[in-house]
Amino acid sequence: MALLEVRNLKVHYETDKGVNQAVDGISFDLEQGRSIGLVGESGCGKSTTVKGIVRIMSKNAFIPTGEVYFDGKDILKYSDKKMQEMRWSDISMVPQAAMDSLNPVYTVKNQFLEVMQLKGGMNKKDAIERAENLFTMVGLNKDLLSYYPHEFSGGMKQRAVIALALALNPRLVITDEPVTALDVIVQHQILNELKELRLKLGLSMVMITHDISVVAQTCDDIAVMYAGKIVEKGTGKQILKNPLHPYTMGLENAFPNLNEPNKILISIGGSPPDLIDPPSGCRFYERCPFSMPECKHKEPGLVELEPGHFSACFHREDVEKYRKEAKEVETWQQMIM
Amino acid sequence: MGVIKKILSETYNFLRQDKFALAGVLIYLFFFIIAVFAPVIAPYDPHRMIRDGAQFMFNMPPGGKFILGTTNMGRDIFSQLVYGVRPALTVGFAAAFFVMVAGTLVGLISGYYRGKIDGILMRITDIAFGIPFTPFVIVLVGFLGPSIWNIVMAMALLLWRDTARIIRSQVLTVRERSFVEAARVSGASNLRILFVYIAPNILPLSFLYGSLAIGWAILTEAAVSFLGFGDPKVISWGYMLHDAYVSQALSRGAFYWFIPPGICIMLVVMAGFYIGRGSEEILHPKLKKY
Repeated sequence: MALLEVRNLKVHYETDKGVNQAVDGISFDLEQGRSIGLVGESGCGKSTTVKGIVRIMSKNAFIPTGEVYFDGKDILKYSDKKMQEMRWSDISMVPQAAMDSLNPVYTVKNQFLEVMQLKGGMNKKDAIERAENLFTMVGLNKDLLSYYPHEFSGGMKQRAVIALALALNPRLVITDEPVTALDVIVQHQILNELKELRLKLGLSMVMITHDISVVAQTCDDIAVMYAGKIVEKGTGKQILKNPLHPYTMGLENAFPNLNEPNKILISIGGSPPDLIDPPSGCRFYERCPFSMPECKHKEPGLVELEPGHFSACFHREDVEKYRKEAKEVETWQQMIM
Repeated sequence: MGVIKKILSETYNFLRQDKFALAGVLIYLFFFIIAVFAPVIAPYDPHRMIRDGAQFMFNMPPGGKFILGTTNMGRDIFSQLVYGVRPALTVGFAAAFFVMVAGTLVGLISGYYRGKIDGILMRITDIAFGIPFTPFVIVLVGFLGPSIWNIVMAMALLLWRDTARIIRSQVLTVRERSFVEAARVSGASNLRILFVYIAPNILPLSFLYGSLAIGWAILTEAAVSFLGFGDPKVISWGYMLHDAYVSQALSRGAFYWFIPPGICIMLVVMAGFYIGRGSEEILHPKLKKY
């Protein structure tokens, strides 16, 4: 049994124009000790998905259907109070704006102690010791604990926030764009540390990012999201080496690769569909260079094409050919015309 | 203890860097000492009509037994000036305290809860903004009788409006920060979020408005007293000016009567402004360059 099982989760937003189906029936599993990366462009529903899982959505969001099993129990059925107790101690989250997550008027130590004493029920002495251990674990000198957040650099704040998320020994950590505002060198360091910590502590992790190279470095599994649905999922290797879905192929074109320094970056033309009134067929139809007439009306479901490798596309044969074509600039340019 | 030490050393550093704020603090300190030791410093009872034998000492020029001369009723001006520090500081600090507390509370609650509560509180603030200040004080004092505490109350009833607006706008931005969200989802109560997480972030701003309110309050008390609505039993600087004005000290050229209280009022208001300016520089470090 997987630690986290998400089954057909939908998270919708009530808006003035209608119901926005931001997350429309996604399913994935996460085994204990593994990590999954949710990848996709802005607005594809990555953050909404995890907000739905831990139920910290904005007021106008609601969950029409879906099940989220954590350790075998459907946590969507839990009361708000019970859910509140689970957050931080069982499931913790490193939010998108980690820089902003520390209260500027208290020392970092103060904020660690507050969590550990009030939520974790530790006494002060143990809490201080644990805070110092956590700081050492994320590569910060423990003397830095008595500093104020504004005395930290961006990378230090990010590390402190990661340490804070680990404060109560959670089993699942959700990180939302954990390294987005940092420079590449610090990004690299923090991602490596995150990975090491995860392996050392046996944590499970869900990582949200728009940067496919970030997940490549840190995650075991990858789920590619587009317009509120998972279009492809599999292990990191499968997705990166043998993408099956045209969107994944396009996404990989749009990021630089160290092994191909002269690669021309190709962007996918157009923009994602309106999720208030989503198209009936494949949601990628409008932007897909390989679309066929049937794609417009019928929605492809996720199909397992290799063991553990799922794709939601009607092109199930000749994927090799499409992969090759997808590397050409012309293929994507004809779509912009 | 460590916290107190840190605050003291930070205050010291701040004062050392900012000469204006230092001047403001020194002026306050000076007046504060005078207020405490007024009975020792003042040579006469400010209410007493001084006699030399059977002769009342009316309108004595400065010098000799009277440092600043006497009033037309034979009272010692210097003693009045010294005792006048007490009502000035009392009114100033009391009014500033109420203004700060009320304004901060209204701003916090309004900005944090939003919605209906915000609407109601802000409409009340609008009404407070609509009432002209000095006439309101005069009317209130007229109804409740002239007393220093009525003047303080009048100011507390109206002057919180500016602080409330400013604090509310600041709370609106702070409440959206992630640390507030983190506190909320991990189960902190509204009151805890409001006073433990948000309030310390806006406190410098309410201190700034508090320090500005001190000057305002003293000035207002002087104005109201000068107009003759002050507390007749308490000798304040405004009362001295009023006294000098109605007994035609100006036309007699008795500058020693009306200039000293004027200077004192100016100094105290200025000190409040300097401290306010200094703390504003902490809030907006960019101001320092200009």
